[in-house]
Order: sequence, then C-alpha cells, then structure tokens
Amino acid sequence: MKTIFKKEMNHYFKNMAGYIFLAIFLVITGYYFTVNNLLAQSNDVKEYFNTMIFTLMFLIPILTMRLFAEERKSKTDQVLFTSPIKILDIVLGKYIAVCVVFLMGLAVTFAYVITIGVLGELELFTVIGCYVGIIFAAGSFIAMGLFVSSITENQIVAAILTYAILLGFYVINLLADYVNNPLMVVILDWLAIFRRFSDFSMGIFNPSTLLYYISLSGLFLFLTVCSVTRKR
Amino acid sequence: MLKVEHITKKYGNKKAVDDISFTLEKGSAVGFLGPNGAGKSTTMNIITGYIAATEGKVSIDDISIDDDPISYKKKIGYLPEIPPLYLDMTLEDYLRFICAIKKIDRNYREEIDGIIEMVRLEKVRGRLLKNLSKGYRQRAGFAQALVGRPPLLILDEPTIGLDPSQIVEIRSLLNELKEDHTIFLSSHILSEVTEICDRVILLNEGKIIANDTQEALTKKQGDGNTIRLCTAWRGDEMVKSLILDIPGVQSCNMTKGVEQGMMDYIIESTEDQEVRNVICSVLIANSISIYELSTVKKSLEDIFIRLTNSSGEGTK
Repeated sequence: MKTIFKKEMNHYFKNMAGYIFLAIFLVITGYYFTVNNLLAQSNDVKEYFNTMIFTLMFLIPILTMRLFAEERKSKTDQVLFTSPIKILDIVLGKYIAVCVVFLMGLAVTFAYVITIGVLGELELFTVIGCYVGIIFAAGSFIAMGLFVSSITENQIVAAILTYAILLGFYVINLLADYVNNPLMVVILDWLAIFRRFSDFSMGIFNPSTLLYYISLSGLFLFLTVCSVTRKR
Repeated sequence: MLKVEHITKKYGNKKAVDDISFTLEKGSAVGFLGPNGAGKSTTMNIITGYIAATEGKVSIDDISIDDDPISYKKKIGYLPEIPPLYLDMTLEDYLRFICAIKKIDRNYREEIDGIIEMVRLEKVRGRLLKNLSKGYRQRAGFAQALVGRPPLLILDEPTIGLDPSQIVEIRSLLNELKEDHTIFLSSHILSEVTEICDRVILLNEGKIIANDTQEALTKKQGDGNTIRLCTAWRGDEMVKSLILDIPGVQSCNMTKGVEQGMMDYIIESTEDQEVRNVICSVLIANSISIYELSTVKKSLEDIFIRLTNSSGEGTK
C-alpha cells in the first residue's frame, strides 16, 4: 500500500495534475474567502465551506479520473496485478494518495481561518465541524471517483461520470425539499450527501453523519475492489 | 514446476482458451506458438494472474494461484507484449518501484545494479522512460521481469520491435537466463523459438494442437524424406526419369539450379526407405556428376503452417 501511495504522490507532482488541482482549488476558495469574508467583513465560515464542498464536486474528478483508467489504458495495470500485492492495498494506496493531495490544499485554507481569527471573532466549533465534515465528505467523493475510474479506461469518461454522479446527488439534495411522500423523503434524505454536511457547518458534531460518510467511502472502496477483481 | 490444468477462458459465449493443460518442468525453456488470436496472450495472462480463468487451475510448485496468489506471484517474472512502463519515471525509479511491489528481500540498489548490467541499460538508467527508444523500452520491460530473480519467466514476444542487433543480444541473454530460470516464451519468430526452446506448445483457436520437442514434431509430421540433389545442367529429363525409377521415390521436381550451369532436383521418398545411396549408384553408373546431395530438414515454420492449417480445416 505504501509503495502504491508513494507512486501516486510522485505521479501527481511529477505531472501537472496535482498542481492543477491545488491551483484551481486555492484560487476558487481564495476568491470566495476574499469576497465573502474579507471584503464583506464577515466572520461566517459556514458559507465559505458550503461553497468549498460545491467546488470539490467539480475538482475531485480531476484527481480521480486517471487512477485506474490510465493504468488500464497504458497496460501498466499488468505490473500491479501480476505482482505479489493485494488488490485492496492497490485501491487503498491510490485512495489515500488522493486524500493527501486534497488535504494539502485544505491545509492552506487554515491561513484564511487564522486570518479571520486575527481580524475578528472565530467560531471555533463551527470551524472544527466544517473541517471534519469536509474531510469526510471529500473522502466519500474521492471513493466514488476511484470506483468510476475502475470501470472505464477512458479518463475523460471517468471524470464526466464522476461529476455526473456527484451532480446527481446534488440535485437529489435540492429535490428533497419538494417531496411529500414519506418513503421518498426517507430515501432522498439518505441520498442527500450535501445536506448532511450542513450539520457540521452549523457546528453540530453528529456521529451518525460521520458514520454515513465513512460508510459511503467504505461502500465505494469495496465496489472498486469488486470492479477490479471482476475485470480480471 | 508450472502446472496448467484444464484452463478455459470465455468472453461471452466465445472461448478464447478452451480446456488446455500442460506442465513446464524446472529449468526447461518452452516456446508457445500460434497464429494471431490463438489465445497465447490470454493463456499467459491467466498464468501470471492478470486475468482469471473461467474454469481450470494453475499452480507453481503446488502453490495454486487461487489459494495463495501472493506466494504464487513471487515466483513469476512477466514481460507482456507491451512493456508495462510508467513513462514519467526514470528507469532507476521504475525498477526501485518494481523491487518494492515485488517485496524483494535483497538490497534494492544491488538488485537494480545487477539487472541493469545484465540487460545492458547502464547508459539510460537515469533517463525518463518516455524518452527511451522502443528497443530500450523493451529491455526496461525485460529488466522489470527479472527483478527478484523469479524462477519462472513468462515472456510474451520479447524481441518484438527490436532491431537485428538487439534481437541477437536479447536471444543471447535468454540463453544465459535458461541456466537459472524456467522460460515460457511466446514468439512469432520461429527461428528464435528453435534457438532458445527445448519444447514447443502450439496453440490454435484456443486449443493445444501440439506439445513436443521440435525433433519429435518433425518426425511426427514427416510422412516422407525430402532430398535435394544438384547435378550439372543437361537440358533433358534423363536424371528425373532415372530417379523416378528408384523404388521408394515418390516424386521428383526439377528446377534450375541456384548456381549457374547446375540443375536442382527436390526428391520426396517414403519415410522407411533410404534412397540416397541408390541415387548415387544410379547416377554414377550413368556417368552423371553429383555436385550436392543433402536431406532437407523440415523447419518449425513448415510444422507450424501444416499443423495450424490442418487444425483449422478440422474445425470447419
């Protein structure tokens, strides 16, 4: 797993993918911080993190699209799957590498939060909640992207499909407000990934929401292992 | 060492590999031949664990790929048809990565130095793989297969895309490796298989149609002897008629000789009858000078074409 993790990290920063992700992520989040917090003289971080999670919906597919699709297309997966290494280790190595690249970008946003703390009053628990929430929500987005990358050998298809799935979840989030059928409400509520993040952004540390994101990540990692194994 | 038992691989309803079984003995070098689409690469991919068989079992030294894939895969070095290279890595980084995923016990640096020297890649060890020529990339693929010095090497067309001098180098390397490794080699260059391998497995339409030494296959396929005779140019068919009168001669084809002023005869005789001495006696008795008399050996190409054609006809 460590070997795969190191290989992926090297790939992200020897090529442009890692830098592109970090640059776009920091430009967008920096822009929102400047407009919503600095220029508006607001210490409200909730809106900042709400826009961040929306941004991740577009950016995470850039990181995940190549993970398995490129390996399959260039046939380098032959090295991985004929080596004495477990498929689970390959999947986890890739997953953790993407999570670390995301965390690198997220770490820079501490500077924005510290700036709010220095210039005004910081709602500490809301900030902690938002960071915990965004980490686990992004973890589930990454797991979805990893799974999609494992079912196609075309990186562009993988990116578009991941984006479509995340957009689908976002639309479900909006639909939930207009549905009256109790059964549908339960189903849509279960699928409302984005809505669950609002618990954290309100400073509510809800373990069930955390478990929800962990389960979702686990489910998609499991599906990735199944998909890779089945393709063999 | 390697035991392949009743392997079948289906893609939908089509059988790419159809119930094949064979074994490789330790230290042997076996050629795997067959026309395009015969199922060679599929079989190799199943043996290496890249794809799973629909049915059947593969094991090395009694370790089954299904029961203990990690121990099984440690015993294999695989060079696929397209070398699986991470083009954004340098050769040295790539081999270090391979050492790590193969979890080798030796010091990585020693291992890499040894392999780079063996495959003669010293000049390019620090270069990015994407900047290497096709020949060097092929050798880099070869190098990754050798990492960990696995006892079984599975090589899918190892000399494809190489120039003649590189082919000679790789062949001599394969001959060196034969001493310490079991080699399972697929190639379209039949002379390569003849030079390196002790035994040949011939696959056609997913089925094994021959599995033997080249000599035994030649013997099995030979339903007669072929003799080449070269005499001085005569301008008539006297030699031909004399030869056709010899008991055991089945046919005699006359062609203009390779050398100027000479005449070549390709003579087919029955397998159990030695006719060369009779031909000599008859021609000398008729004052015809013999410049050359030799047996034409059946090549692997002949056997390959004959077996694949007859097997194809049989299935139609």
